[in-house]
Amino acid sequence: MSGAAHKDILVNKVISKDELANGLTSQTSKTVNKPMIEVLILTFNEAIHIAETVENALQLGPVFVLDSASTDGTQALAKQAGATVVEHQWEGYAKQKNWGLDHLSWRGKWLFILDADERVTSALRDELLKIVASTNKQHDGYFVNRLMFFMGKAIRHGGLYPSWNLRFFKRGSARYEDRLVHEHMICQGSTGYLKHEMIHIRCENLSQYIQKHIQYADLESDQWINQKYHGAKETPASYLFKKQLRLRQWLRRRIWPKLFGRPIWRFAFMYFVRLGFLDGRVGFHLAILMAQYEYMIGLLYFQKIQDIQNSHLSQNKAASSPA
Amino acid sequence: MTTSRFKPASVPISVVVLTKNEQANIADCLRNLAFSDDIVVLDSYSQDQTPAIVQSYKNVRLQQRHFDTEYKQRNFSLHEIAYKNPWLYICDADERLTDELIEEMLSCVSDPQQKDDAFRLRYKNMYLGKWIKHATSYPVWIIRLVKPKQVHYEQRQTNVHPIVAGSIGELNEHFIHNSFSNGLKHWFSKHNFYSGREAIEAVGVRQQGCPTWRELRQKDPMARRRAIKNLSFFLVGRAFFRFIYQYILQLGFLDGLAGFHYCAMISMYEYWIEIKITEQEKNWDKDTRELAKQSLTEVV
Repeated sequence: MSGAAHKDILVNKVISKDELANGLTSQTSKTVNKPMIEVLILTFNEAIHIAETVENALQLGPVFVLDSASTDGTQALAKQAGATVVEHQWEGYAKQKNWGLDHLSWRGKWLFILDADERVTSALRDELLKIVASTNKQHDGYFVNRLMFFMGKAIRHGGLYPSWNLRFFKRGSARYEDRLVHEHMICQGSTGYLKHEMIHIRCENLSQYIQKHIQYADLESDQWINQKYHGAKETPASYLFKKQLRLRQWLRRRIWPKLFGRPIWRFAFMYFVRLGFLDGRVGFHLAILMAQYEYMIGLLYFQKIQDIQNSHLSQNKAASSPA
Repeated sequence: MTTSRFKPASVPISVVVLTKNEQANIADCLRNLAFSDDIVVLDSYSQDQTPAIVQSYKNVRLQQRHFDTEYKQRNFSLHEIAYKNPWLYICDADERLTDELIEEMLSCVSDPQQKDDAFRLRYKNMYLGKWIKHATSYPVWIIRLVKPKQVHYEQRQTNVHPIVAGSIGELNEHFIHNSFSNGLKHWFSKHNFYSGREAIEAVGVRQQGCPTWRELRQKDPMARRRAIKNLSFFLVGRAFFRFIYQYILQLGFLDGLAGFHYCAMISMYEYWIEIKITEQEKNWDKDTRELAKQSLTEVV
């Protein structure tokens, strides 16, 4: 990776004294390019997971928990488990993660980003440590495959697996794109794929799972509205992925919102094309829930367009009526 | 329609409105209820502006109580609040009374001949500015005008019905129900919550066994409906059958695109109930944790 690109990505840091005491970086602290891995975990009310997650992540190296004012004791549990805890007000997934990348007192060269409900398997850990210690050519970022456990099963089909996420990278070479939800990491540099996988344990009950879908559908429809009315630009797909994935992202972000009958297409795609039926009943349920998620986006999008048009109408009326 | 032309003081009907986070609706609702001289809002400690809005209406009393279960909250509203008038109208924040309905209620309760202890009536469901007549199984009769001492709510997780000690009369006029006045997102969240409650209820019912033929043919229409509902908890594919029933048998397709979406959303809700029943009965959560643990300790 070129030094120039590196500089572009690092943002100016403005840090108060209190924050320094909290374990944040200072402008004078020099980067020590030791061959070690540090882990960033974002949390909000993750008390049921966090102790186990930190314990698991500590096998890689020092762990930073960036918490957005949890009220369930997450911070204390994380500290107790051995993590450095920093609190920062929530501004959205991408912004929060980028803030963590910019402002925490990282000392090493390699970063791994983990969610509270994810774990690193021992095989993946060995692979990561090997890469870090290796003197051969290293990539700047690595995609990690993720296996999900949900509804009492490991989900291996339906397009949910393999699930490649750029989570392991040289510090400064990758950031999250600015998007309301389902943000991706953009890596300026060469990328590779890891052989072993991490696991994703979905312990939430269905009410929580559906509530998340409702929340995401609301954000996703906002994103579509922003694109339609306010000219918000999606990150060009070319930045996001290796070539074979660019077409998919282009279809998903440009063509998909204009398609008719999205819920049905989504179901057919997951259940038949991506072989979701091989996961049995759970595969069926996941495909249906996904189709419903798609349907909710469509309904919310439609409602929001109507609301905007109605408010335009009433504004026009108010403007044209005699004072 | 939102502001009634009737003046207070001459009306023997009190009104109670149960609320939680209804800031979008409550002001309109209270203006609509201005015909009554005794309006009480029983609020489940809303986190939005609802209490403040209610307090800005001088003719309205605000009372707050923590929500435990629906029937307890509703029974509290009937029996623990002192009302000025012998009759009580039970209203939701997203419902509006027409002037014709108010007029009919007044003439009914002031008629010295009438012997009833409660009145039931029908309502019109609105979506996208239209009355969704078929897709909502119109007409559904519900009890809203009562003598509070003669009525209590049945003990159930959600969707509780009032039980009347005495006779029930009927009103001809309708009230208007706007299911989506808080926006679709609110509707989804609310039905996500309700479906969880229904599933808990269903798991209990399923443990007791299928309702008998006799229970399904009871004379009392409320009890019969309840038995049929209990039977439905044993059905596989509720979402699919509900859609067929609502959209085709009940002629929901006559309501146009709004009718289609309404049926699809109700069917989604039914699906959530069914899948949440399975979740509890199969104990998915435990299996997930155990499987994940195994995969972490596996040696490659």
